[in-house]
Amino acid sequence: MAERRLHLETPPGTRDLLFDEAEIKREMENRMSAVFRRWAYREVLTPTLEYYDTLLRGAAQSKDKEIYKFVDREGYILALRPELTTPLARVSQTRLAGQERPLRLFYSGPVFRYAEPQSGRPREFFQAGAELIGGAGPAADAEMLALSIEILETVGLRDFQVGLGQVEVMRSLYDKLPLQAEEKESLLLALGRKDLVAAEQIIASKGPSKSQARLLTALLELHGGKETLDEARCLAEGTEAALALESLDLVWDLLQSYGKSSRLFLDLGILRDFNYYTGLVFEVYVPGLGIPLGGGGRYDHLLENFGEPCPATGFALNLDLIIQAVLRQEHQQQAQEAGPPQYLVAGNDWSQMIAYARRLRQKGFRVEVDLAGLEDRQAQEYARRRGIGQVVFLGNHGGR
Amino acid sequence: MFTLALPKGKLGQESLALLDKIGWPGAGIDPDARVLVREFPQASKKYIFCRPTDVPTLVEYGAADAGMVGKDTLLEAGANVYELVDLQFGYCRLVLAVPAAWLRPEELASPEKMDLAGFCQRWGQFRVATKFPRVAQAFFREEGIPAEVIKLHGNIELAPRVGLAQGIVDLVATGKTLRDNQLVAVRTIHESTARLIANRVSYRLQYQKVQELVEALKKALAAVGDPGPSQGEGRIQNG
Repeated sequence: MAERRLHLETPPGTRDLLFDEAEIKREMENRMSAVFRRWAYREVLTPTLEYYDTLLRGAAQSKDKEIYKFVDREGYILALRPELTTPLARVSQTRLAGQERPLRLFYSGPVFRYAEPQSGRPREFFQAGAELIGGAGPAADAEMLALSIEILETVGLRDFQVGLGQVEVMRSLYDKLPLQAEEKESLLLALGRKDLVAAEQIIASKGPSKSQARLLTALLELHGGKETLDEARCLAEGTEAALALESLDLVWDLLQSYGKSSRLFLDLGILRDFNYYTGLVFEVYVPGLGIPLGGGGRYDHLLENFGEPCPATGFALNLDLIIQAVLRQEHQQQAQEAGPPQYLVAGNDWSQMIAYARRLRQKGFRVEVDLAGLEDRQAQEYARRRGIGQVVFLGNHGGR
Repeated sequence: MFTLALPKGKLGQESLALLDKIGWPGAGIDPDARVLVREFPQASKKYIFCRPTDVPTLVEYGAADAGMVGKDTLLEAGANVYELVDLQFGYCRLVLAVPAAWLRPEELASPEKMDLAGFCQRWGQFRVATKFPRVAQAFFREEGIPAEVIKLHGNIELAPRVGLAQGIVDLVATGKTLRDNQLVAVRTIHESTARLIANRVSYRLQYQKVQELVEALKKALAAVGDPGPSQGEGRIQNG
């Protein structure tokens, strides 16, 4: 192998954005900032470098390994920001300490995370987000949710959904579990990673009472629309989790007023960074993209690390992933509208064939129904010639 | 279309047998055929057959909604996926093994209890060969033993014989390979069975489908008999 010529490369996990991509990114940021401003949010730009000490007091704690660190000439540790919530918390409690609350702030900029080598994950990527500092209660939670949905709709993303969770539900049940601190820790870790095999082992072996364990798993497994929330409230009636669920109910109603509730589903298994969040949490998903686009939630204990205690909620979206999702959506649409059919329905029973084709078309597929009475083998050949993906042969002869 | 990533080889055969039991396509499918992607439009399902080590990657990036893979592979991959069901087949152990000839008689008597740190120290820099460098690294870190971990891709058991390493970290199903090469397992690092894993986004967006699969698998596994942890123990002794 030839000697590496570092001066011609960019470091792993970083890349140049050229032309179209750069334009899309700028256009997206412009559209986003227009929405943020319409919602009365003001932009804050913080330095790329922070003292490590600052970042340690924030959400970054659990991601310590991923923080790029340097030592400055005075011996202090500097770090590249891995997220922007903590720097914004610092600003809120210092230069903006005297300002009336709630503060509505937004940002957009690069963040840095030291992803493992060969993991294929970027080490520099762009985040955009908002923080509502001093916003307490369901109305503030609802504003964050509605704003994040509006942002994504504005940049042209169509097919996304938002999963709603409430870490207080989990916390209230979890505090009552008759487990050692260490066991609770591992249970939490397992639930956070969704290692349900390990979680079940802990619950089964350490024997919280049947009813407690059942309530915990039943609540964590609930998933669906508003009716699921009612179900959860029934299950949790009389427990401390009930209160947390009641506020979720209110948030859902408010999202209806925003006209955004069709994007929502309930999933109490969404815990995000459990030790950091203190209430409602949410995550944004796009079908076909294996990674959540972003998310957020309530974090009422962060601000006290920089000054007076103060409730807060916010969200962050991964701009690189949003661009990917939007581009993908456009490709899919083009492929959907052009190109050969995805299915050829052939056979010898017309009514069966037509009914089958109809079902596929309802699912959005391009379907050709064979009119030439092709045998199975001929149909396969024809499909291969025309580039049709799949042949469905309905009938009772000419089987493969 | 729900996409499932399945491993080639024996684990794939067992996965398909289990899927067949719950009414998914399974019977008559050869995981090692040249066909790498099979679609079942009527059942609205798709299978991708790949190397076991690639299953976590396909699932992590959402190329497959879910997958079946050994816990050993999962640990080594360190992929960000959800682990939903212990499928109970494909049992094996990941062990640290060393040449029997290098153990003192009292160590040989109960190798799993011997003083590992002391043994490793006899070699100055203890070197171990493995297909599972990440898991091996973590094991030695936790044990506080400074070991050098070398990644090999096959026939790990050869490494001590040719002087490449003083020990190996490898999978053991029956123990035959170890015996044939005069190696003795001195620590069990992990016990492994196959797992159902799911992509983080598919798990949320296709929750109903994933949950149906989970329930069906659990039911089928319970019907086989309830092999709790005790059966796992039994099988080790057979091995």
